[in-house]
Amino acid sequence: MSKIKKTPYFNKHKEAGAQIVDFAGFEMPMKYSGIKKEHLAVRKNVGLFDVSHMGIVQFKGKDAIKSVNYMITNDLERLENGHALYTPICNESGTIVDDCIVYRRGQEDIMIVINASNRQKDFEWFENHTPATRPENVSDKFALLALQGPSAEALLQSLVKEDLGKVEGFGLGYIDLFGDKTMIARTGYTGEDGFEIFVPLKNAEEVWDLLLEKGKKYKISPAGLGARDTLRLEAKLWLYGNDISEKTTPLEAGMSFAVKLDKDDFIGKDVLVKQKKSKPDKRLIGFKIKSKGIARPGHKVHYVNKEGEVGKEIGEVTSGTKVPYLNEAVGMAYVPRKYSRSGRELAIKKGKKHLRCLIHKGPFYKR
Amino acid sequence: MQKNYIFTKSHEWFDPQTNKVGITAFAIEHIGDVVEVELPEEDEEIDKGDEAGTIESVKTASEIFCPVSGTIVEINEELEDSPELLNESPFDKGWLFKIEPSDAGEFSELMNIDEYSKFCAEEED
Repeated sequence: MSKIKKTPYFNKHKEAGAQIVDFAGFEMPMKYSGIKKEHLAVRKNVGLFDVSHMGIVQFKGKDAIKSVNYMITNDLERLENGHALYTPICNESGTIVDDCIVYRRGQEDIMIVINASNRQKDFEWFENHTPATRPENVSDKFALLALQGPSAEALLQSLVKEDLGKVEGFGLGYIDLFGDKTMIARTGYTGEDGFEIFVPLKNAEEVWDLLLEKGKKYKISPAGLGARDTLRLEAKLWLYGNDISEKTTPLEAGMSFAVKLDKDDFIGKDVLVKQKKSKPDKRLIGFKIKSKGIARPGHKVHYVNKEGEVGKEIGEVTSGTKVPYLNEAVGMAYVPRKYSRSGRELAIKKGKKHLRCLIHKGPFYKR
Repeated sequence: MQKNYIFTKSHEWFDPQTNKVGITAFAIEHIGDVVEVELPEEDEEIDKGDEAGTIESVKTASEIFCPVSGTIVEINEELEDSPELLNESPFDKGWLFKIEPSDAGEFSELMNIDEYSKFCAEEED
């Protein structure tokens, strides 16, 4: 076992009274004041997340775009410089190695932010599969923060001269923080507006303190991994390891928007072209529970006939909880495509009981 | 007030004076924000150590184990609309149910407040 790692904010989390947990080999804050409070702070005001445990990989050089584009399913060629996109990374079987955000900083400068739990695996994957440009692990050059919520822009704007209004959704920008050019992106994992900030390591603690201090006016709260998970589920965003994995393809997971089958060759293309044509056998669905009770990952999903009778097992829950803002029990599950239509009733077996739920298309929460 | 309460290793408390059952502040601290509580039915007979419901937090589901054998005589209906009472007042307003014990001899098998405090301190390490 390798040594458990800390982000540059470990002491800040301790100071803020966080409950610390081991997540993907990092000592991370699960919560500070409480998951529910932090969740609501992000929906109504603004929250600050330490996401420095995520990996950052850079590709530099004239073949950077071509190299990365071969290893992702979305299309970097169509993206303008100064923009980012969400994409799965697939293997030759068309299943998902990881999902990530790719930042096209320039014609010869691509950055990828990958899941903490896949850092090692992804880096090796890039090294072994890049057709030309070598990946560089730049994770330790930055402290990565996510400032999320309806007041995120107002707060950050109060600290910098650059016009943040010019940074559109999934756009990149640069701000001056403590004399250093700092990259920001209008991205996140909460379903809210907000920014991810690539803080040069030497300014890590100062930026954290500044945001929390100046954020008081905007009712800022530091937010931990617990709220990060409930926020992403409320927005129906995928969690790698739960909702997507090397056992699922992006088409099964409902990520067609990020799979550009008409672009040049990329890893997994053949399988995905075939699956698109024949249509996937299973689909990831979202559901809302209509009875009492909460579904959790691993619970089995059962068929329900027109008379409302519960039948055979047809799938399994991948994510589920009662989400704090909507105050509804929701979740995701894989079921055969023929049972995946929006509005269909399904049952989730929980102990001796069956929870009744309806398939829900689209995000549970939309800002 | 909890001075007279007796405790299980799975962090339920039982008050021999009111026959109320709940879970401890120590447990609730670990469970986090409670979003739903599933309780037994009135008149249900439950044995000591058997499952008597579930506490659902945003993060996880935790089972409630019955601290003493007996018959459920009342459940805390406030929890239906206000599950957060468990976080706010685990030893008082956040009680779960009342049970009519069938064997008072079982009480001595549970821990008193001092023993329980020590038990928690050891679990914390």
